[in-house]
Amino acid sequence: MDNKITNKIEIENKTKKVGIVSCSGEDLPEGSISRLATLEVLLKRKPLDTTTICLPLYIAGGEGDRMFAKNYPTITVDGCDKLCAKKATEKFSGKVTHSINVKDFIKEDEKLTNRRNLNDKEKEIAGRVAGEIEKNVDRILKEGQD
Amino acid sequence: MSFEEYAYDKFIFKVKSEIYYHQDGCWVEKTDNIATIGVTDFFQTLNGDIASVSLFAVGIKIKQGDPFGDIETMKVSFELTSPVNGEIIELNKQLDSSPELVNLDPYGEGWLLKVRLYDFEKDKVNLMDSKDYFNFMKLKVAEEGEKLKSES
Amino acid sequence: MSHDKKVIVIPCSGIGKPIGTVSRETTYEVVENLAKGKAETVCLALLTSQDKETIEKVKNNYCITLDGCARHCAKKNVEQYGKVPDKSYMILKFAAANPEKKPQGIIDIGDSGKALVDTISETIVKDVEDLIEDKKVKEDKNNN
Repeated sequence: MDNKITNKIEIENKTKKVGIVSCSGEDLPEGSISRLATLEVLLKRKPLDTTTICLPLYIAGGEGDRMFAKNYPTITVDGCDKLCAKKATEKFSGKVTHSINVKDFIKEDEKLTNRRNLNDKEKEIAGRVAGEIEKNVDRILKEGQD
Repeated sequence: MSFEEYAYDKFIFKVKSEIYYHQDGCWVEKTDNIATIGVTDFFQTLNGDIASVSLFAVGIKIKQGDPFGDIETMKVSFELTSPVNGEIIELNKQLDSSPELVNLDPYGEGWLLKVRLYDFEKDKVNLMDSKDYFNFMKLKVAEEGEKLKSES
Repeated sequence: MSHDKKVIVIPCSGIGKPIGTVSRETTYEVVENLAKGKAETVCLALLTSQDKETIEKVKNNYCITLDGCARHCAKKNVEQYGKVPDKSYMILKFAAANPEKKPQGIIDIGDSGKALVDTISETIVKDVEDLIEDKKVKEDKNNN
């Protein structure tokens, strides 16, 4: 099948948005926290100001997600120092506007145990990470308007 | 095959050239007196991952504007509206086991059925060419964006 | 010296759809409960960032991918950065075969979503057993 694109139009979305890229790392509780915090912002706190960028789709070649991340500001949310979401976004779409590491919200002596069915402590951490994402969404959108 | 693309937010909607479109979401490609029918890229994106496709049988006569089957997605179930008048002569059997083809390749392998046309010149009165559909689709996309805002 | 291989179960964890959450929850149900000790998971993002340890783990063990939808992101990414999975599944197919078990939301899949997780987990656990059994059968033949 020979597909030829004859014309490509990009619309300037009048409502500015911020793309959120979560690592959602499966092997660590911090990955589940990054996912939950991201979803909290995407679905509840800032549903009209944010768009989710699905990291596995993005890496596998998701055209729309990569294009969005090139043209709009992005916040990456990683669970650990490997910073997979940040590195992938930089690799495929360029500079990340703001990077968050869940590890920075956990005290040194705090041990997280649940990758699913997060306990109250883990949910509280996710809430704080969500707060940080939300704060930066507001800051980025405000700067975009100035 | 050639396409135009329309990018909105993180979505890229494809419109295939040189075929016709019905406002309720189906496209029509005519070869001699046979129409191949499918759903548009915008339609499949809007409605989500398709779990199953259920179509009227071969031999059934369908009317433009009337249902000819339904699609169940993970979000909703909805009726498919016929873009033409004619008799169903073939169904895309691949969709029985792989309904996801409608999402992956809505203008190609995700075709739904073929119809022997009665009077395509008459049908065309209620259809759009690809250029008109492109503009119509842009309005629909903007509408969905506005709808999303109002649901906050 | 024989080496007991495990089964690495890798979900897509797609964040945009409830079936992405189902892929993740199913993985945890298998590796933390039903096939604990025989199956594990790894971070898909770590695999695609070409972490050596993760790549070795995937290549040296059996691998099952669980994708939410037909885009097959887990399968494609594992094929590109690891190896061809021993088994691949799409949650959408299970959901289509079990319409009464539709996941309700992305954060909370609800009771019907959990029922879907249970259904899929049964299939995955059987695969884990079959894969490990094949390995054992092959080893026994070699040792005769």
